[in-house]
Amino acid sequence: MADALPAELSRLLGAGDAPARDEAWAGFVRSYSPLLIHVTRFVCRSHDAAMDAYAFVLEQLRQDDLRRLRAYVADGRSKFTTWLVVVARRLCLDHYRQRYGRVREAPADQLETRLARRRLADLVADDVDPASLSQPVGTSPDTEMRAGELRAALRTVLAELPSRDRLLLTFRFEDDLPVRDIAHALGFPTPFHVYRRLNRLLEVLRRSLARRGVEDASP
Amino acid sequence: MPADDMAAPHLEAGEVAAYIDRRLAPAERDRVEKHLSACHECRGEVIEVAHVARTLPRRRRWHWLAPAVAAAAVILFIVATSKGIQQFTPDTGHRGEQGTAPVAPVPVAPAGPVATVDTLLWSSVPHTNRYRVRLFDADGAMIWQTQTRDTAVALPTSVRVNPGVPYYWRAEARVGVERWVESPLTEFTLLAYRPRQ
Ligand SMILES: [Zn+2]
Repeated sequence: MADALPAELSRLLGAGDAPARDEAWAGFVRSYSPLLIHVTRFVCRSHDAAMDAYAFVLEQLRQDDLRRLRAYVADGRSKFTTWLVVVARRLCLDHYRQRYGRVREAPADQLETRLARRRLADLVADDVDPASLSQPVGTSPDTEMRAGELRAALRTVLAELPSRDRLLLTFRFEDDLPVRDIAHALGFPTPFHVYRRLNRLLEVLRRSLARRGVEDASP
Repeated sequence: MPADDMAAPHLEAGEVAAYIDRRLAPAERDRVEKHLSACHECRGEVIEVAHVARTLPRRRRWHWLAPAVAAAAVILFIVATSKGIQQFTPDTGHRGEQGTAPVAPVPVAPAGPVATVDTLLWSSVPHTNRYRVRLFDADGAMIWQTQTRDTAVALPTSVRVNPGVPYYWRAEARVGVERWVESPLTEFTLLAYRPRQ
């Protein structure tokens, strides 16, 4: 299902001598600079840092006889523009890390811990008490133990889910991502479809837990 | 590679791009989703790339959207200043009419992050004399709809659009008795006011 190579890219990779290659490179830069600048502006906070990163990305793309661009030809499963966004973003992050250190930390808690902290019943019911959603459960030895049981049971139940459903729950409850971003990443047609699927999944989790004799971790 | 210090190999650039483009075979897709479920870094990459890729200035669309936006702006001006103009359809000039299937309108603005939302604009559909526009909030509740002969409509001030939250809208064109063709649902977010640097 590989796409035909974009004209600018195939001209660049096919250029025979140095002047032809310089000219093809100029054409490539003209065509893809809006994309590359869009990426660098997304990753970098200031205009200057974005322009700096843009220059770095161009230099890296051209390096080693266009090694990175040739890698797209060898793979070719995606659209060239999507691939270029991935590569440019990675280069930007490398550049950013070299200059400013680490970018961001992973969340401390895993999915089952995050879910155990919430009352699954509340997540599906209409009358959600927003205060209950973020309160830790384990405040006494008894509730601590029940939360531990719930986490263990959740881990088992989550492991049985199809990977796409598990990923959906992870995006939502471990990463706390907005539903519209999840819809775009997972290919749901609209955010409403994500809500619908999440509600269905939480219902499934609740039933599986009930079958195992584990009730919600109600405080 | 996004990280240099983890034992498990991260997804390759081609895999991430193909995953976002929905080009992976089911088995590969499953493997990628398993990795994503366990890897915060690759999840962040997929989310960000999907976001950036869908907000790219698209080159092909751009070529005909640019004149369409310009034309729509001129038309709005003409409609606003002189009643009785009959022809107010932006001529995109690049899209041929395809067979007998009715062409759906294409939302032009607002789309993505926008500084203001006072007018909704979409491309014209041949042989129609009526468009219907519907606006939804982030929960999918319809908050406004209207019908018009034009390819642009002003949003009434009574419709409140809050900054920072997504809204969705679509335009539909009537192509027969109770037959409508609808555009894709288009998302926009009103940006909060930010002073220029
Ligand atoms: Zn990874």
